[in-house]
Amino acid sequence: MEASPSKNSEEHFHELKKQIATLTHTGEKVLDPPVLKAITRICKLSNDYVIHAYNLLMGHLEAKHSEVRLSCFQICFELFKRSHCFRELVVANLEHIMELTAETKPSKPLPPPRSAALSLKKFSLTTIRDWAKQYGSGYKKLQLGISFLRNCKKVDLNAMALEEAAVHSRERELIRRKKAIQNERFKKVVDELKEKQSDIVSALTEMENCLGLLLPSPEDFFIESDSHHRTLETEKNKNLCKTGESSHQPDKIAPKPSEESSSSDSEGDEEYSSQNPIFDFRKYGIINPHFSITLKVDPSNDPLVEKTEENASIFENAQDLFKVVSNRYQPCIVKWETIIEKCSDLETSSVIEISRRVHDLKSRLELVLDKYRRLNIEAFNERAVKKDDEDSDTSDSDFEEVQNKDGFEEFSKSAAVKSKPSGSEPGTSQKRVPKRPIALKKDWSLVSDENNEKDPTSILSTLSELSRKNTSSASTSTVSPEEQKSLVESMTSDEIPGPSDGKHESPNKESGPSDERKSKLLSIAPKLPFDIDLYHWEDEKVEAPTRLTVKPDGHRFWVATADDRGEIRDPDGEASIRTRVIEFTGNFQKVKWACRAPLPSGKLCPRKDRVKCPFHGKVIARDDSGKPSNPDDQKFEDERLEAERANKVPDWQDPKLLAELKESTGVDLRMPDKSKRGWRKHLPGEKKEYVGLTDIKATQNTTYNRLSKKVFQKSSMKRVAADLDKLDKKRFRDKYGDQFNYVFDR
Amino acid sequence: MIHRLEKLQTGTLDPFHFRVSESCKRARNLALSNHRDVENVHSSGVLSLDLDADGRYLLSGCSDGSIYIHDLFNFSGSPSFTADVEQIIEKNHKFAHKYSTECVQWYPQDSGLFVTGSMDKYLKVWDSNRMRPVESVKFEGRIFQVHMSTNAASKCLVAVAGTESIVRLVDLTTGSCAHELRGHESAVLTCRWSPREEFLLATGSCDGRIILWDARAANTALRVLDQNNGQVYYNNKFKLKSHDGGVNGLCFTENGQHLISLGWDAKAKLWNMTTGRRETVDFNAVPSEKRKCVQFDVAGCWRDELVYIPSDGKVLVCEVQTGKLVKTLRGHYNEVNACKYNALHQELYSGANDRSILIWTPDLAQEMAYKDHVNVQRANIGTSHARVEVTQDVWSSDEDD
Repeated sequence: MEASPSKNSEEHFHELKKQIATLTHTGEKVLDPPVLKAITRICKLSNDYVIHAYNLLMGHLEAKHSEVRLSCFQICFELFKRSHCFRELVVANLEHIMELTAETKPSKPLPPPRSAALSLKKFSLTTIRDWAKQYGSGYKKLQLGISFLRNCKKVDLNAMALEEAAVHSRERELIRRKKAIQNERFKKVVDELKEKQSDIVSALTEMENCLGLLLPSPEDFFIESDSHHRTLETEKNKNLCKTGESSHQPDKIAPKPSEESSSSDSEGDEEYSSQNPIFDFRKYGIINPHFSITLKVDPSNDPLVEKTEENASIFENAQDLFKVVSNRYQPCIVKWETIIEKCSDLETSSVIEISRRVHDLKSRLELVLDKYRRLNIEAFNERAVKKDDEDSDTSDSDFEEVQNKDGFEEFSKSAAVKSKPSGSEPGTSQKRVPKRPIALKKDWSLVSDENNEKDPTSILSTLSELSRKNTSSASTSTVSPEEQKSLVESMTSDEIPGPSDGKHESPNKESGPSDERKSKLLSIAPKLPFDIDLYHWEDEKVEAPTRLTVKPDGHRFWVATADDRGEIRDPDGEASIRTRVIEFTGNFQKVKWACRAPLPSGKLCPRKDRVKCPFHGKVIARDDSGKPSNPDDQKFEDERLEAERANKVPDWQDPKLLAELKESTGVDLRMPDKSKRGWRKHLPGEKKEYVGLTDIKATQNTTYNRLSKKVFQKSSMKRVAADLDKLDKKRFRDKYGDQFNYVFDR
Repeated sequence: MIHRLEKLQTGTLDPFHFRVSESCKRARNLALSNHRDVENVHSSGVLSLDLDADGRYLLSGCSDGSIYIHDLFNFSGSPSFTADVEQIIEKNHKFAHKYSTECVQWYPQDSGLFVTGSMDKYLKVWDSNRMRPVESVKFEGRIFQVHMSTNAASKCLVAVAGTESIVRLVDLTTGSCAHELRGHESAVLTCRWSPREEFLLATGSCDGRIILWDARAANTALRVLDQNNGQVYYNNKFKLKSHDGGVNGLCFTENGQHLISLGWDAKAKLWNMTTGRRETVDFNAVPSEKRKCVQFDVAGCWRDELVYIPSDGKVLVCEVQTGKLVKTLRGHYNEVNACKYNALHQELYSGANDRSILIWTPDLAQEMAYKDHVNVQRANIGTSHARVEVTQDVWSSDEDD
């Protein structure tokens, strides 16, 4: 620093100027600490810098923008705290500063924006008061300034202090009141919680138990095997599937017909494994990358649990509970939670405790509700209601399985094996084992071939043991192949399961397939009301309709001849009775492709347009790098690029280069864009210098002002007045010109 | 100074010289007094100030017609002192001026009498002991300035300058207008008697001319001061001007040798009274342009005279002979209207539109010493020690990095 003090000081002066200019033109209400620090750091070095800063600040304080003045005065405030020299300078010129910041001179009001001006005034008055209080003993003129404000400007500084105190007390009072209200609410919540907690908890446990009974969790299975209810395990419980498999595999059950659909897959897998028999991924703990499993679970339509006579009461109970919990307890808990959230700034311990309790309750409740919803009992109910109607029709049918048709369809869709429920003996419930063909893939199977059942360390042995336990309690889970076959046949005849409206025919009814189809199509087909076009549908020749004209004199009797009653043809002609307008009520098709033309940034254009991108023309198929994949499109693309190149700015107008030139020489060489309006007025060189400031001119620039500038222009006023005079004169002459005593008035 | 005192004791230095040079030095080093105040009772801007012959009572006139007398003598025994107001003629007082009191002046010999001139066209002569006017003279026009000759031996004449173009002389013994001086073309803003010549009167007017009168001569002006010193010949003698624009301030130096004038052309000019010519002195100080008259004063000290010129909120201290700006006194928040120099204590009093009168004193060393003394006392008591650091720099250490 000592090496070249003059140069350094130059730099410092420059730096100071820059920092102050930036800091005063941010438009923020609070100063930016790092910039302020930079200023104070320079000022600390020497009083010369302080004086320089003072001069700069005074310059900025004159700005016709209250935001600038406010930031400026805030800097003054900071420096005043620190430097004696600065204090002397400010105090010596205090009357001027007060004029600029506190509006002491009525002829010099503070500049806009008004809000900043008001805050500036308040800030400066309080600051000067505080200065006088703190530094008044050292700077006589400060005290004089206070007395000046008090005596001449009638600024009641005490009142200001009082006002502040009043504001503070008001705020405190507000906070106190708010707290009291919160406390009250909180107490209420606590009381309610005490009252209802037991109810809620019992309801929840009840519901949990219901759900547990309906759909036992996998852990329950492993521990105890006698599940009394028909449960259907979704793919989520994969281990259950595995148990099923493992129970079948050792028994060497013949492949079931239903597996045929997936047999090709499994064959493929076997092929694959035979191709590389040496490398077994499983053995080395590597996941085989060639196998992927897609499980499609669509629980939206199908209930996961079937309703039977014995679990009906549980169902109903669960439904009732669900209603109660979701309608009464959930909103209640949500309400409590919001109240407690608001009360969180209250005294700590009890609030935290209560909020924890409420939170626990809520999470538990949500869990149960979620479980219930996933069971999809509602869908089941809907279905049950519909089925009731059908049941009345098919009650005399000799197919006893009708009852379970739903379930059957489920499984046929997912190509799972359905074990035939023995309707005659409902007491012996069976566990259905869904068998997924995909799950049969060898490599995916947890059970590798090497695993030996005899080997007690292998997974197979444990599984077999478990399955043995299961099968011992349950009766045979296999279905005779004949029955299966018939079922599958019926399934294939019903290719498309009925649309979701559920109006499909029962496959068991042996009605004609064409009738069935027709009725189905008819049900889907749109219907239109009978109208004029249908009336004339089969007429080969239709005369265009005519209209009777109404004569403007509108007399009914005084008409010369009947021919006069002109009939004119409808302007639309025949079409008016041949056509009918049907409004399009289709669905909005989302655009699935992007423009993907290469951008200068190297990315591809992400715009999604149906036909034409506004920047890159027609949307065409492109490869990964953005080149058109069709050779025909290539031509258009080339043309487009050519045009783009022609429109580009020439090299010597490169904005970067021009910016550099401007930096070094200070000359702006940019050409005005003549295609734009107002290029004469707004040269591109003059950019808005300080973005943060509120634009004062913008507020002045109203339509009223712009119009009034034109309307009240002197020349236009003159012109309009002359025209009006002329009109007046003319009217006057027309009125009185023929009278003898006005003859000579010109 | 000690050196010079020693010289004085040995007799090598003339006591008069010593006094003059010391007072001159003091007059240069005025600053706002930290411990002495004038009680702030003015209800509006102070237009005029005057100090009585003893330098004790400060008379001030306000723009709302009120008149105040402050006692400046400090009998409190402490340097910290506020001059209390002794007498007040308030705005609503029975005898108060209806409009602003433009000019006040003590009787030069004692403090038993003073005169005031006002915008309500009255010249009032007050008995300061009873605080009521003993005489009031009504004029045709509003009064801008009245001045009583300080050097009047035989007769006490009061010159009254107002919106009339005629300057009237009022004889206090008869209480009536004794003489009319006609020569100005428009309102006369200011008038001053010479402190040396008993009957020499200078008046400055809106027409930009300063005219010297001999009060004894019947109706003729001695001279119109010419800003071009006769180098430009005018066919029309009314084109002869002292200032471009009105003349709103006049003041003689103590010895009566020179006259200083202020004008609306924002210039101060120095005139030699023996030759009647303008001295080629450029005052660096530029007084503010102002419509009405400004009262300003000269620190009279033989050759090194200083003039205190009000300029907006500041008072400029200039050397008379060279025009050099010595100092700028900052303390007022609005335009300063009047300055009065106290030759006895080398102090300056200034009154301004911000309703305050400030005391400017050269006794800075004493004040500093007193301040230290007070601080030491405080420290001894142990009440506070932070207050000492009020005028210190407080840079926080985190500004280093």
